[in-house]
Amino acid sequence: MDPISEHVTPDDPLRLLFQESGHHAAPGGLEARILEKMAAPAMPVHLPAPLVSRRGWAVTAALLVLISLAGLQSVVPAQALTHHVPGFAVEPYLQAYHRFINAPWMAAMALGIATAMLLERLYTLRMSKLILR
Amino acid sequence: MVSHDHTAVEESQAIALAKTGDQQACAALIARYKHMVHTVTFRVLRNGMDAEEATQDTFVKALRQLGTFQGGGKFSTWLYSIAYRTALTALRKRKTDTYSLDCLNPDQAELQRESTFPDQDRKAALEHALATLPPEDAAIVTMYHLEEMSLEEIVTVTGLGASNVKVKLHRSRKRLHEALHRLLKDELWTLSANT
Repeated sequence: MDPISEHVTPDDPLRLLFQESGHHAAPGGLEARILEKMAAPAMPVHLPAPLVSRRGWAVTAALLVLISLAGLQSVVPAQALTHHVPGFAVEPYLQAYHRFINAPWMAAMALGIATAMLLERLYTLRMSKLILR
Repeated sequence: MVSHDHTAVEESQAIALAKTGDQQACAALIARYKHMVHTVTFRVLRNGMDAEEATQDTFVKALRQLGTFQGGGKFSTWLYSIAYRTALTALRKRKTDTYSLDCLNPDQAELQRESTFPDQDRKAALEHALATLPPEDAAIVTMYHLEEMSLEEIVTVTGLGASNVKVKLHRSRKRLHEALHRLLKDELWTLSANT
């Protein structure tokens, strides 16, 4: 037997009150209104036209394929392109970022912000309860 | 017991006929379950007009999808699951359409203002107490106590897990006891002795 059923006996006051109160009476003439609704023809569904038509998507896809094929068959070797990209050393920046994140004042600031947010949340909840009352 | 079996046969006959489009059978099924369905939709929506709309939609959906009902389970459980989902969908739609603090807990303020209810208003007291619960929980506790549905049936209707339903029932019963104790004082607890 589940924990709820253990407590709910046939003479449970809450159950008796529910039984005594009974159902919410459905409004009169409901059957006729439902059958009328069922007999009514279904409303035609008007789907909005898409912003880009199927033909538009097909043309775009074909263009993308053409551009890709043109890129693959290019006379310029891929390695030659990297000579134009300037060198960029990431390591010093990462070290500076780690120093910044691991600083004790950073942890203190995060803790402070979290506490302030919690206090603000508690204050708002208290005020909303007072207003609703 | 004989009358119960007879009713079951009548119901299965009505379902079979309704599947063929028989209007009288459809009307008989609606007449049989309209109060039950309306009670669930009203518990969730807490508004007569919205509840009637949801009740109508429930029956329209159910009668149109009657072919999918195989008869393995109870018809009432199947119908309840449609009613519960239809009412929840209407509730979500209403929440997105209009947002009001009153809609969240319409009778909370009134409940706090009321001290006690006269003897004849026990039903009103129950309505007020139910209004303190979230709509889904009010429907679940109604299914359990009014329709005397089992936990398994409620799980089927709501699509929630068994443990979740148990927690909701336990919490709802506790809140209802508290609210009713406040509204009806000792009368609730003498009910079983009087009946």
